Amino acid sequence: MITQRLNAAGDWAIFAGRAIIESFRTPFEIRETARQVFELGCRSAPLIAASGFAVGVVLSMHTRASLARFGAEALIPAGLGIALVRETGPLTAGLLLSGRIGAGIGAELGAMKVTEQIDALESLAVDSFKFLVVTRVVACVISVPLLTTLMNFTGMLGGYAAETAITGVPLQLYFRQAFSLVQFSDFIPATLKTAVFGFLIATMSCYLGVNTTRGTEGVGQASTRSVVLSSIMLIAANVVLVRIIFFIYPD
Amino acid sequence: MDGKQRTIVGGFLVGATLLFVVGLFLIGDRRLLFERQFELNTALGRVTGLEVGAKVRVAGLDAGEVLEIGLPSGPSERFRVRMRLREDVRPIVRTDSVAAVQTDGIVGSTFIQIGRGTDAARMVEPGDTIEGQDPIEFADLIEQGRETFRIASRQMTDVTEAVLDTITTLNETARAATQTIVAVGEDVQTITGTGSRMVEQAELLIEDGRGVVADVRAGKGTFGQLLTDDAPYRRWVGIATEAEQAVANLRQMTDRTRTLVEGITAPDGAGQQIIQVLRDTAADSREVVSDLSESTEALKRNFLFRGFFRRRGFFDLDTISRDAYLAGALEGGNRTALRVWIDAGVLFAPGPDGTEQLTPSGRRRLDSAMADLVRYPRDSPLVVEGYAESTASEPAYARSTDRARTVREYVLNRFGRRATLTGMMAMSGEAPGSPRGDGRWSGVALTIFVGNDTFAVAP
Repeated sequence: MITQRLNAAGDWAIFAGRAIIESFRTPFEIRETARQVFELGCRSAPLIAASGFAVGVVLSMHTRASLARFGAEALIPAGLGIALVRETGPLTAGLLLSGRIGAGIGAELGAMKVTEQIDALESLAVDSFKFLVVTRVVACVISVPLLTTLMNFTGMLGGYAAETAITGVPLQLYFRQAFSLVQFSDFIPATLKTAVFGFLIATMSCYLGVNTTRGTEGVGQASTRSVVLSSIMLIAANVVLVRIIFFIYPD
Repeated sequence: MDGKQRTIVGGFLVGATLLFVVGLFLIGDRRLLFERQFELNTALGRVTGLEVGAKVRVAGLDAGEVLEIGLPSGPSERFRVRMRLREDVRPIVRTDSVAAVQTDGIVGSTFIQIGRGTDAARMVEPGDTIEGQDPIEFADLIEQGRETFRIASRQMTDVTEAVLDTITTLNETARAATQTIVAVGEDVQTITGTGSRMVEQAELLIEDGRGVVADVRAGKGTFGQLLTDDAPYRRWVGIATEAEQAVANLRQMTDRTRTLVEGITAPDGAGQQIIQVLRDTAADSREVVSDLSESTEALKRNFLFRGFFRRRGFFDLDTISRDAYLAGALEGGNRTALRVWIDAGVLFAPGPDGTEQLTPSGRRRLDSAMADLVRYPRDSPLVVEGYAESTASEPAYARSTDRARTVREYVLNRFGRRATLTGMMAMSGEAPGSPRGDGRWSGVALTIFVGNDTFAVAP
């Protein structure tokens, strides 16, 4: 069993490396990539925005309860901002997207696999890997950081909504306070690490999709396994990436 | 992919990218990346809680951040802190400004507060170093607070003990005051009751007084008539006039009497003349009495008349010396001497002028002694013997003479004895047969010489 797992990990690593190499090779399939950005990014935006808003409201309420003991309610925007930008936004966005994108890609490609649509593309002299996998990987790498930024801002907006309902703080002041503790070393690395999350989600989902067997049952399994394995890899990668970020930016 | 989708994709990419850029700008704006800046340095001994990127405030205004915290090269060196500040706050920061490490509240972040300098100092230039003030360690504050609390606790204990003592004393005082108040309260109630009765009586008196006043005003009663009738007034005026006249007469008589007295008492007045006549008359009388006495003494010694005098009981102590008296000259073989010894301490007491005077107890003692002697015939001669010891101011003879005289005069006046049968003899201190047993006596002895035939008849 362990051997099988290791074999699968090796296959996936080869698959992901091939996706990176192919992404720098022509043809770039811009149109398909754009379509995937629409499907994976734009269509996920409402989910991310709504979730970010809700997370911001909840975080603001919890933060108020904690800081009110010290009379430090003025630090709520800054606390929410730093929490969202550093970890909550990227991780929450990544997990949500691993569910939506991963499940979608795994199901789509799995269905194409079991219905031999991928074979049909190959017969049409279309590089199925480039057309199906690379486009999705590039779209995810582009979309997930953008969606993370969207989640950060909608989270701050949710916090503002919760705060202004209590204190009536102006929007500009709230956002200024929200970014008062955020450094470049917090904002940029934390946002860009979500590109790695997108890469992992896309490659894992595509790998499981194009290797689907056993018909429709396999499609379901591919979809489910895409979500689960994407989430696990995402969380594990987050630990490593955060450590790397601390190494690069020790302050 | 249709146009709508492409639009959405474009909007998504641009919008999200813009959001990202806004975030970058918000962070950059706070870090003054888009404003003109200058760098400033300070040196601190401690940088507790200070980090790179910490805020720098000038007079409370966010003005920059800490760029670098340089480590000292030795124990005596200080940390070099490099700061970046907004250019527009440079006019406020002077060379005498002080940079202090402070904390936003108790749990807030650490920042550097640069105070505004004075107008006398020049404006800082980029790269200048200003004075630094080390942060106050919370642990030091806690330790000071602990020590202060320890001292306060000790003083509170002392104060508490003193307060408890005071409370105890106050309780006792209150208890005593309560008892006093209760006791006084009873008295006050009594006084109040009495006062109420007195008030009632006063009201009755006032009411009666009102009635009397009304009657007086109406001319009723003696006083009312006095007030309303003029006749008594006219009588009083007449009496006063007569009194004035009488006083004038009395004054006139007094003046005449004074004049008369002055005339009499004047050195050459009638009074002095009368006094001189009286003195001359008294001197003549003394001469006559002295001649008469000498004549009587001559008759007493005349052989034709001395038997008469002897039968009458007359005797003459002037012709008997003290030694002869002691030898029994008065007894003469037909009389027996009976003595009553009385001590001087019972009889006499010093008078205001220093002389010995009879005391009331002495008089009673003499009365008691004479009560024993008066049962003998009245023609029995009585001699008052005076005894005294010598003192520093008076010889014994003089004192004994005074004592004998004083007692003789009392006996003569009290019991009406004939002076010719009541004599006195000054014995000094010698007293053979005195009750003391040492032959001395201080006082008097009443000695009556009773005829022997009296003892044969008397029981």
